[in-house]
Amino acid sequence: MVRFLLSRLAQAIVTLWMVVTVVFFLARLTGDPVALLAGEHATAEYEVELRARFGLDKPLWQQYVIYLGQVARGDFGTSIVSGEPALAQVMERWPATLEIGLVGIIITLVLALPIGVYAAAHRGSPLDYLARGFAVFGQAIPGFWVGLIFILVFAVDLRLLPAGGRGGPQHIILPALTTGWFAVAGIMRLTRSSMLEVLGSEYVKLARAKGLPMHVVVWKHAFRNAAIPVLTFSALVVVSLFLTGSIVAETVFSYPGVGSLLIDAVRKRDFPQLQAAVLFLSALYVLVNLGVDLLYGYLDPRVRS
Amino acid sequence: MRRVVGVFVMVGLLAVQGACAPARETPSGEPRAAQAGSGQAPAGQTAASQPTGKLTVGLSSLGTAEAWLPWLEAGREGWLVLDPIYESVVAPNVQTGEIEPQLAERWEVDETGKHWRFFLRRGIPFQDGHGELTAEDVKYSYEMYISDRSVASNKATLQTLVEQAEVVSPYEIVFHLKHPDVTFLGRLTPGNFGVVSKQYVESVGEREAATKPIGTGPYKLIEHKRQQSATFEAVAPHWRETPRIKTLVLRRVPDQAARLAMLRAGEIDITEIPFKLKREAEASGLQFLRVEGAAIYHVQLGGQILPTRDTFDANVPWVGTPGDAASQERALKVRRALNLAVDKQAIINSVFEGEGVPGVAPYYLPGSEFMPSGLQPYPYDPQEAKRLLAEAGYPQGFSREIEMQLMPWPGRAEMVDVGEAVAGFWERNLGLKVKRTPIDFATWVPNVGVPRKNAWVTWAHGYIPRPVSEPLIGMETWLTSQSRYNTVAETPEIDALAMKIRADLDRAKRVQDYRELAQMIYSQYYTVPVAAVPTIYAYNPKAIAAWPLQPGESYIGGYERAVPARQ
Repeated sequence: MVRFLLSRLAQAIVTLWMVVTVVFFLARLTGDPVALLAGEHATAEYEVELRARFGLDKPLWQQYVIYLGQVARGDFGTSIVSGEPALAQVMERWPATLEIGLVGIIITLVLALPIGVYAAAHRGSPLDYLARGFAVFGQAIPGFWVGLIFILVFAVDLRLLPAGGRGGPQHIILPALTTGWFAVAGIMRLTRSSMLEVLGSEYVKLARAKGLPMHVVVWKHAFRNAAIPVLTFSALVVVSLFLTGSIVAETVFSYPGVGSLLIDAVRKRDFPQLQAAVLFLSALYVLVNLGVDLLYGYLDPRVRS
Repeated sequence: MRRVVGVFVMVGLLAVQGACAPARETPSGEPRAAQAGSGQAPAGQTAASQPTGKLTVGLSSLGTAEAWLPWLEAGREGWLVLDPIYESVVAPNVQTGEIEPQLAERWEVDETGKHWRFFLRRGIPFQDGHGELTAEDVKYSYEMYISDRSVASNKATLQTLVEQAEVVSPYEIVFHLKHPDVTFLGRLTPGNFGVVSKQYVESVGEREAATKPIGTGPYKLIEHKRQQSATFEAVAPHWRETPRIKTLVLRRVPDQAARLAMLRAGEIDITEIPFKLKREAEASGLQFLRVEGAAIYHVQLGGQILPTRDTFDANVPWVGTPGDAASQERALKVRRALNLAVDKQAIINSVFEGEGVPGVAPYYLPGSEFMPSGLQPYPYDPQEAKRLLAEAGYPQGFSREIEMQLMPWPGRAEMVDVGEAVAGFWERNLGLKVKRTPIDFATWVPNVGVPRKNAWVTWAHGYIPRPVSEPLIGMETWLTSQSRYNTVAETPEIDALAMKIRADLDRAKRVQDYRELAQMIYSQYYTVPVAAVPTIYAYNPKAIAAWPLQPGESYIGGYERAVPARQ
């Protein structure tokens, strides 16, 4: 187990290093942050001064080496735009993303798992058809469109919930629903198909032949095995709620989280901020994957051995 | 059904992301002239008209750093938040755009044009009892603007123009310029220069002062939620103009469609809307404020550079060989053809929802006093365009492809649509081959020489004029061979006129020079002027009764002038 853990940890470090490298170089291909910062009336001399101030006048390889050294020391640089430490801004915005993400996860699991299991157990029923239809549309419809629909219906027409911004619990509902929309559809669909496969297996038939109640067969015997692929997918989807989902929801609902910070950083070519935000979210992704791998070991003894 | 249609409109708009009262100059710009003033700060409104209520404004941004000292904000958007807090030495009149005193009661400029003397009003208080405005505060503010810490867009200009700021007495300051420049006055206006309390900033430090700013403006910042909102309270009474609305909230909502939804839901009271959302807003019962002349669009024809540049290419059809009259005549016919082939009104109707008027010359507001009278937009005449092109030797169009760079600047997303539309007209009416190249500003700027290097490059430009009495302030970035991004044509004549305007203190003569410049650009068809369009703000009539906005200013401001619907 220790070897397993160490090996996963080493993989995680390599993964993060690759992410840092790719983002570092890709970001610099997108344009000049100094031009955006200096404005259209700036002189060429002023831009030279700004470049020197932000270390952008050095050769690219040198900037990269300096940056790696800083990251190794826990220094993620200073935002070109705000002048604040880049990681501090990410941590300042993280609670907002966490709010939406956690509520999104809860909504996802509360809706997707029971509906997926029920649809499989009652195959061919009206609810099964409804669930399958939702699964298709849910994965096809873009999140930002869903978010705008929610705003129109719940905020503009019904005036039940706020259209955006961060505040009390009522501000979290629509962004969380928007974030979880895609995940609900995907997890429900996978749960259903996984359950159908397991429900058709011999040991489940035996359990039913023994006269066990249906809910015991489904939840105690079938679901645990069906949950393994669902777990993998759910873990990735859950993290995606924090990554892509948060970007969309935070932009549409003006929620000041890491996602909107990332979008701003891309627009303004704020390289340190962009790198810090991506590294943070990537570390989160790697961590969740690691957790899933460990959970796998618990659920499936074959993995442990 | 209506909701569904509206939703699809909003989806389409999401895919697209990112008239005029001329500015007039006060006579004070003349040598030894003085602007009359009371000498003392006005009393502002009486206690009987105390501010009440709340106004919430939806903005796409609260600036870059969200650090509320004028020199720490890099872009113009930061001034949306700085504007209520700070004031400037001079400011444009809200109706005419003419520069008039604000913190200064009057000013003088000597006959050399290099020494500008400002006489400050007495008794102007900083907020929260932080003393009275003096010349030391103005000097300190200037020094901070040009300091190493400064990222203000005005920094480079002030460094280039100003030799020294000299405090003569507590209420008198002289700026000594390196060379005569009439545009200097416009550098001390809101959006370009804000005056802070030297005593306050030095006592609490820059960091503290940036989070708890103190100015002389009509509003005081009381709460700031980073990347969310800034809340202000009216200063009552204010020495200049006491606001009518007590609480001002500037709320950051980056998405255009979301801002409109919030306006419809009553969560904000006013916001700028893009043209494509105008119908949706109208259908919702919202009303509009229009600021005419807020943006002027034209298409640049690349390659019109000085022949001395090593990338000059005389083979570009609209450029011609220097010194060859026949070649120049052919090039002029080609430029005329490129203009006559474009239906400006159709572009206004489709891209700008019918808002705006056809452009006449780049950087000039149609009808402006700086334009010669009688200049009309080039007509739409595709037949004549085709004939001219054939006469110039291109009956089947050009052998090479023109590249149209589609570049959306922040706040001017329509530049892409304008470029696309013009390219379409050239293809349809002239049979030209036009390649569209999407590119954004940050990618384009490092290659700022590309339009100069690649002669076959064109791009649409959406110029935002500044509400100052000197058009050259905005033009200088785009007009001459010394400009960073020339989008007209590099000619010794344009350079000479621009230099003449800059140094001439006689306003009447400058107006004539501006007209001559406009005539020159117009008669030579150097560019393809498209439209002068307004900025549109949608507002809730139950919240706002009136709000005089600055002509030619594309950013909302002057919050103290907003009149609530119920007083």
